[in-house]
Amino acid sequence: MQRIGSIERPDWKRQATVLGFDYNTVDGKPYWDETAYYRFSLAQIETDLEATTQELIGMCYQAVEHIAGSEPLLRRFAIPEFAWDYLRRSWRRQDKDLYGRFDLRYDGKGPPKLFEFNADTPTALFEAAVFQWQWLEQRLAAGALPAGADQFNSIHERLIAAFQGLGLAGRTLHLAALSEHPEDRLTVEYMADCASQAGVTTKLIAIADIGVTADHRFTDPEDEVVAHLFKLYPWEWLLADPFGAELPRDQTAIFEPIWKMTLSNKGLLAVLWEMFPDHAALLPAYFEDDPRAETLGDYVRKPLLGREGSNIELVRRGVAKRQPAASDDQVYGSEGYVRQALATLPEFAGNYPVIGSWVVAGHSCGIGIREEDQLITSNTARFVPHIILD
Amino acid sequence: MKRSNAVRLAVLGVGAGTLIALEVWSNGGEETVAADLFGSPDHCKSSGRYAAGQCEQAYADASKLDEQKAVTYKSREDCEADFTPGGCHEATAAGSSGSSSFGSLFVPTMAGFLVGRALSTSALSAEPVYRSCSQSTDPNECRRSSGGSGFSGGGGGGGFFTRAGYRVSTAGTGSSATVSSGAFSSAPKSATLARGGFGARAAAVSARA
Repeated sequence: MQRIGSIERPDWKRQATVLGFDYNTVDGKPYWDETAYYRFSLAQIETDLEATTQELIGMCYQAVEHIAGSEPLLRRFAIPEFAWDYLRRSWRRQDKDLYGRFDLRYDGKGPPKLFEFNADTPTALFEAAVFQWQWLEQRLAAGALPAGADQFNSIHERLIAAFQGLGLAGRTLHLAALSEHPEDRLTVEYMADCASQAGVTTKLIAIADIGVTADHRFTDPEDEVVAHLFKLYPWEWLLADPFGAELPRDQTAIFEPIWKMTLSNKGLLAVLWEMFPDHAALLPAYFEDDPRAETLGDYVRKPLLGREGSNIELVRRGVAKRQPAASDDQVYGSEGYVRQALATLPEFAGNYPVIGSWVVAGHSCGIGIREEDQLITSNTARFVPHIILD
Repeated sequence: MKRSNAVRLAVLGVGAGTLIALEVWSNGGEETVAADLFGSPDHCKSSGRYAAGQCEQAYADASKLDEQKAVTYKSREDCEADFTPGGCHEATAAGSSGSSSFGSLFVPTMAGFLVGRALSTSALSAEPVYRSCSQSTDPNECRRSSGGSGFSGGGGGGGFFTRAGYRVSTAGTGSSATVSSGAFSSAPKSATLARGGFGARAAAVSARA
């Protein structure tokens, strides 16, 4: 694993804008950054990243079974009790999930370590699946990369196959997001694109436009019943919202399904460590009120329902360094915390990469790398492409 | 090869795919029918507009439909904010979902019932109605004057709504009212009673993770 400096394509910004990837630069700083790329060997990709990710998703599915069957854990995960039956029903009938992103610590030497699993509303999808792929193809065509360079990235093909697997061809899938956020919007637009290529009719709506009828069905702004919904909006927010009580009526097939709440919660880290102690891909992790949490030494304190590095604390020799709440002033943590043993990110010339390893319909199928110039990855990280070359 | 053979986009990049803009749902332009609005069976009988048996039947039909409530709320406050102070009650298991796992749920209380016909040729139908201040011209005055779930009163421009969200117009005299013809169709197709119940947590926040 190396970080290699590279020359940017002269017109990449124009290409990004044409595709709707208009958050490629944030506050004057690059978010998409092709002044460098990471190079992996095929063995690093296949043995370390691909295989470990496949193993992790298998472990996660076992964890869902365990958590869904445990009222103390459901309570600890702060999943509201009125949704428990619905969650268990969704899991038992095997409601399909589409995608998720494991964030991994990896330095090229030995197995990666799981930081967390973005199982419910993962983003940075388009740049990994599409823009990174285009970068590779164009650099290969220009002779700017060695012939034979490849990329761990069949995310796009896997997504289309996943939508084909839903059996919705010819039917309508509504896709809802917070319309005011460019990244959220592009993620649902891209999802809709993949769904349409699988023969699904798609309709994009704003999450706030969803209505409810007398017979407890959700509707879109044209009063069409929402029978199948992809929502880029966290389950814990859906349930807490005024229409939350309607959800257990189970009138709409929702993606990700509600059982993903058991995986998007940082409590998963403690549960995995309990179920698979000393697993090579796991870091020791405990709920904060577990006495064993005191044995961790240096650790990272994570809110159960945090996102994007918000309110994460890094504690070294008892001294806390806190990641301030994200720019949007989001505060997390009222639901409790887990502590995870500290594994510092590897450094590549002052840059600290985190591997986002994608799972689509249960298949490990690609990575996207975000790097920071600090130890906690936040929503100001830069997306840097990668290649495979032995 | 570890990457996609081809990445083709069907929609993105050709100027399509923007989110549907916010639209306010309304009954505007729909066909209306004449109907009668009553607060109780006795109110209906004393109007002389229907036979006593018809009034009892209409009230019974409306009460049954009332059990198929449109919206449920997790708190009385939220429910009353959408309807009227004192205009909501806790749902019984039978009246809501039949499941006891929901915890307390609150629903608007039926304030009266509507009697009419979807078409001049069709049979007499009944619909329960609910009083709401949320779309009134002066919500505060409406709430002050509404005083619970009762039928009468109504300063501030509060109004009566059917289960499916159709507004009942009571501009005429006595019990006479008009309402969208859709209000009496046996299965309101997918008329939306309320919108905006999702997205509250994230006015300025991205869902990204």
